[in-house]
Amino acid sequence: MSVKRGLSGIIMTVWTFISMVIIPLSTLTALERGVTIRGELIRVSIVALNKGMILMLGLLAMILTALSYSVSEKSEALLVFLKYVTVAYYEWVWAEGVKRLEIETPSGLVHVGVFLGLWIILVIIGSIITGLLKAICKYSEAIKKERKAKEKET
Amino acid sequence: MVIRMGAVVRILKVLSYAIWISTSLLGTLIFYNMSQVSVSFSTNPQMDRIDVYIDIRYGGILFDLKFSARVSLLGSKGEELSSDSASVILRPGETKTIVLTCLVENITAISGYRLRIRIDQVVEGYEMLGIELEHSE
Repeated sequence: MSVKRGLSGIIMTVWTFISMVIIPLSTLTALERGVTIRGELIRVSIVALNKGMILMLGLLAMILTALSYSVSEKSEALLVFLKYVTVAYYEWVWAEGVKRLEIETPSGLVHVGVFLGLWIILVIIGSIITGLLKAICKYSEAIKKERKAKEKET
Repeated sequence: MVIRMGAVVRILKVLSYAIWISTSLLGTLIFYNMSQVSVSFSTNPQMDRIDVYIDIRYGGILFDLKFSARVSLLGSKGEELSSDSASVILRPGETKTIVLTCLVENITAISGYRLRIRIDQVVEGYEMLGIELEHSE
């Protein structure tokens, strides 16, 4: 059981970093280098995105994922919730970032802003509620296990 | 304590699913609607003014669309000589034309323009998601 938990912990930790840092930032780099569409080179750069913050939040989420697999179930609940809060803030940083994009086309520079408004607020609320839900589930499972263990002892 | 927690979990589950489904559906619908907007421009320069006609066709579904446009005429140093702006709300399937009029004293002083358009998806009176484009030449 602990080997299985350890393995899934490693996989989830690595995946968290890949999905939150490596894939998004490498996609950004590729877009900044340029994409050829119908023979025309188009460069897209997200000017306002705080890449350092994206990296920091990705690292933090990775650390929280790793820790959540190496502590007791009660503590895991708190770490899982913190991870979801980190993800929610990560989504907010992206939403703020895409407000200022620059698209360089052969016919000139186009400034684009995507304002995710109420929609991203709903997505963030969804993330926090999911985190809260997972944390409560983990905590109640831990309490149940503790209770069963106590009953066995008596 | 455990029973109370069970009830909280159930409520949170329902809330979480409801938010997840609504954001996914809304997101898909909004991005579909945003792709169903077509805009075409034409200008009519006259002695003392330039009229800019913007034809907007909105082929989206369910939600209204707010379209705002601002045209500025620029001088040789990039200074704004004249500008005009307007915004309209379009219902699904609707086509509207905006006419922006920029008054100019000396038409030869114009060396460029700046166009800024913004489209917002309006859901129940709230601006859910918007895209802004600015191009200058």
